[in-house]
Amino acid sequence: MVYRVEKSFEVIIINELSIAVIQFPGSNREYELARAFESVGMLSEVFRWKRNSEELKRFHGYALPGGFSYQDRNRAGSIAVYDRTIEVIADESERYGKPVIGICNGNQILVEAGLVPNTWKKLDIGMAPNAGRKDGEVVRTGFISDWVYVVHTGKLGRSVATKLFDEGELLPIPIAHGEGRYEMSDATLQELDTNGQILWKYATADGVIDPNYPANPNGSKANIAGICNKRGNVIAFMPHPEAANWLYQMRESVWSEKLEAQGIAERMNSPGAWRRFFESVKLHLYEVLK
Amino acid sequence: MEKVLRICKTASLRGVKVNELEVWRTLKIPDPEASTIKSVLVRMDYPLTTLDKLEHFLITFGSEITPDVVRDVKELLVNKNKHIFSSYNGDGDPQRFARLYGARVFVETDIDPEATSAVNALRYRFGYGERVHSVRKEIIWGMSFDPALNETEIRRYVQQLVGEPMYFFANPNFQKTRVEFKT
Repeated sequence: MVYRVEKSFEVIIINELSIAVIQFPGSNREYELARAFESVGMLSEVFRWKRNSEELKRFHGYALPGGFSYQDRNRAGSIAVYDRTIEVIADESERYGKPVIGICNGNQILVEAGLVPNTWKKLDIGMAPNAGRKDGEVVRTGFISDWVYVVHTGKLGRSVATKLFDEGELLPIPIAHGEGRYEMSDATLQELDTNGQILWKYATADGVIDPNYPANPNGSKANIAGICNKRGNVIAFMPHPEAANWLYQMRESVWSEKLEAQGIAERMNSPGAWRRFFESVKLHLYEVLK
Repeated sequence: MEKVLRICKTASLRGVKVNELEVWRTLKIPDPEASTIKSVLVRMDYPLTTLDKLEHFLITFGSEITPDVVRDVKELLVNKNKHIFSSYNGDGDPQRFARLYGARVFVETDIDPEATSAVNALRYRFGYGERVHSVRKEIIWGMSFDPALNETEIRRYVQQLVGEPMYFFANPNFQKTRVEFKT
């Protein structure tokens, strides 16, 4: 299929929708993320941070994977921000509205770069070390790797990655991070809320947005798990949708469909709970480019 | 770095009381975090000659610090195979530490996971219970600059790094910083 890109991107002929998955030293989820985009029929390429960053301009979107870029030195995501790669991505997302998806460590990089909530290099948010609380007292610190529930709090179609999710939809998803606690001033929180930039919040299995651990596993302010910028094309999301993209990746205890599919190989390869995340990005690009 | 820690031992930063214990810790090998940060800053044309990382713990007890407490705190916080360290609870000369670097940036995280774990370990694993009031942890970045720079220029560079818009060493949404310059 050949699409002609007109006003919004530079005028080039596109054979397929392509996503660059940026690999920093210490990234470790780049191939999973690339495969997740490929699972919805997009082209993806793992793009090493040392490559000429000008080459990034030919891609239709960007994804920053999970892991520990630069070994989380200084603080998570803060060193990668000074790579030319991030400057090019910021420029392309600002100028052409190209999608930028930051998962886990990618979320931390986008926050440190200021691409979320909106202003390049302006630190309105911090990704602090996990501090799960119960009745105000810290009961859990350190790295957490577990399945949690998130509820979609964004409006329908608010961001490029949530077009196919219903308002208020509750889904299980894995998390794996040590610095995932959203911290910000009350004024910033109010602004995010007013602009509808809070896309996902941690919740109980019943969908209750409970500030206590374990529903809010890392003590995030207002239970925030994912946000977008004002324009909706930059998404920062701490949990791992690419690790819930196929049915075989789902955990039986939180996704009964997997139990029913035990022993049937074809069914195990069917979509998991979060395939729609990647389909949303693809849908957005089709809508923009057609 | 051993010299730095020896000086730290006699250089309390905050006038330590009888119920407080300070522990200073750094890696035996060159600190990889400091190396990365230094190379990033040098690439951005900051005229740094040295960047050292030290970790500073302040343990506050409800009673006087005994030799047993010092031993247990060291056992908890220090791995002799990889750290060099010093501990302190007595009078000192804060100016000795101040003279070591052109500037020192102190970073404290609101809820530090290592400090939180240390409180719990001292209370429940080592059995000190509620006698342990708090453990605070700071990271100290000691910086030396090109000797050709004057004090004003050093201050300008450090303020750029610590303040808006870079906030290089600490994210103000959950970390506090203070800066001390060579006096």
